[in-house]
Amino acid sequence: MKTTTKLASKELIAMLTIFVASNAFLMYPRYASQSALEAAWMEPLAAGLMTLLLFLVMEALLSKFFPGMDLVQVSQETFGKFITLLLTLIVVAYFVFSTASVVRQFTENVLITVLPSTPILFVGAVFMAAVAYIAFTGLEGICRTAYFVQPILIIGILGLCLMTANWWHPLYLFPIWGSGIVRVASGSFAYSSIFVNVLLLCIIFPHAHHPRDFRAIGVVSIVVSTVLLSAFLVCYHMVFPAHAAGKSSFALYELARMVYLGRFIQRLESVFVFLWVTAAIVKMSVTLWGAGYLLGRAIGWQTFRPAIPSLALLCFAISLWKADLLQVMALDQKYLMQWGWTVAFVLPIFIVLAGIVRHYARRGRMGGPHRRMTSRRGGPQHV
Amino acid sequence: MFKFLLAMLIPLGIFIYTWSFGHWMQIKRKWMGAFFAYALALCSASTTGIIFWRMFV
Repeated sequence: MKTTTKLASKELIAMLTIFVASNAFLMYPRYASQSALEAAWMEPLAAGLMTLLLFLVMEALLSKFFPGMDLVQVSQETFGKFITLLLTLIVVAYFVFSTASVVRQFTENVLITVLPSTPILFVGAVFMAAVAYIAFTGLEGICRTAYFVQPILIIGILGLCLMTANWWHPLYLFPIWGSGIVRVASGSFAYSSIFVNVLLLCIIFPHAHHPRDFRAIGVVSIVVSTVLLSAFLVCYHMVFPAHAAGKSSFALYELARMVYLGRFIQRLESVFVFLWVTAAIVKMSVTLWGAGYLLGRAIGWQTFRPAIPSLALLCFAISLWKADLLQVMALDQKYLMQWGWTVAFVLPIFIVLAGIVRHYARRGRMGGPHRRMTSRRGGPQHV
Repeated sequence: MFKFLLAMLIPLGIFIYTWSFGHWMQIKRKWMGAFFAYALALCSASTTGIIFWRMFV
C-alpha cells in the first residue's frame, strides 16, 4: 500500500495536544505532587519550557540540514539501515511498554470507579480492540478523531477546574516553591518524558499538509498542553493538599467527585468517565500506531497494518504481566517516566547531531560547497 | 484449562494473521520483513499464552 497521507495542521495539533494533556488523567499528577509538593503545577511549566527550547533547536537543525526529511530518514542517511533498525527497535519497545502501562492504568481506573464487578480481562480487551481499530485506520483516522475530541477535552478539563471553585483553598499552594527549587527542577526533568510528542512530530511532520508549519504545530501543541496540565494541577492542588494529592492515583476522578453545584448537580464523575476514556483511546492509539509505523519503516514492510493486531495483543499481554496496579505504577515511575527522556529527547538530538557531523565530514572530504541533504526516497510511503 | 483454551482463540487468530503476513513477505522475497513478521507473531502469541496460563490454569 503506497499512499501518502496529508493532514491539516490543526488535526496534528489536536492529536499532539491530547497525547500530552491526557497525562492529567494518568499518574502524572501523583508523581508531580510527590516530587514537588505544593509546586507541582510548576513541573509541567518547566518541562514544557525545556521541551519547547529543545524542539526549536531540533526544528532549526532539521530544516537547515535535512529539509523535508523525518528522523528515520536522517538516521538511515547517517547510520545506515542496520543501526537505524536497532535505534528504531528502542523507540518501538518504549511505545509498546508505554501503551501497555497506559492500558493497565486506564483499565484499573475504569474497574475501580465505574465497573467494579467486571473482569479486568474483558475491560482491557474492549479497550485494546478500540485502540487497535483506530491505530489500524492510520494517522489520518487518529488525527481526525483527536480533532473531534479536542474541544470536548479542553472544555472538560477547564470546566472541571471551574466547577470545583467552591472547594478552592489558594493557601494550599503555599509555600510557593513546594519541596524546594532543586527538587522541582529535578522532578521537571525526570518527568519531562510526557512531552514525547516532540519525537512523534519529528517522525510524522512530512505528513502535514504544509510541512512548513512544522514549527507552528510543535509550538502550539507544546504550549496548549503545558497550559492545560498546569491549570489542572493548580486547581487540583487548591482542592487537595499536596500530601493527599501525592497519594491519589486518579486525580481527575477525585476532582470530579468533589463537584457540588447544588443538590441536583453534584458528583459528575460519570460524565467525565467518557472524557478520559476517549482521551485514553486516542493516546494509546497514537503510541500503538507509532510502534507499528516505525517498525514498518525500519524493516521495510510495504504496510505496517498487519502488525497492528499482534502489537495490540502484545501490549495487552504485557499490561497484565504484573499482579496489581501498585506494581505497574512502580515500574512506570521507575523506568518509563524517569528514563523516558532518553528516548524522547536524547535519541532524536543524537541522530540529528550525528547527521550534521557526517554532513560536514562528507563536505570536507569532497571539498565541495555547502549542500543540503535531501531525501532520496521521496518522502514517507505508508501511514 | 477450558478457560485458557477459550481465551487463546483470538490470540491464535491474530497469530495466524501475522504469520500469513510473514509468509506474504517471504513470497515477495523480503527476508528481513518476513523474519520480523514471524518473530512478532511468535512473540505476541507466546507472551499472551504465558499470561493466560498464569491467569487461568
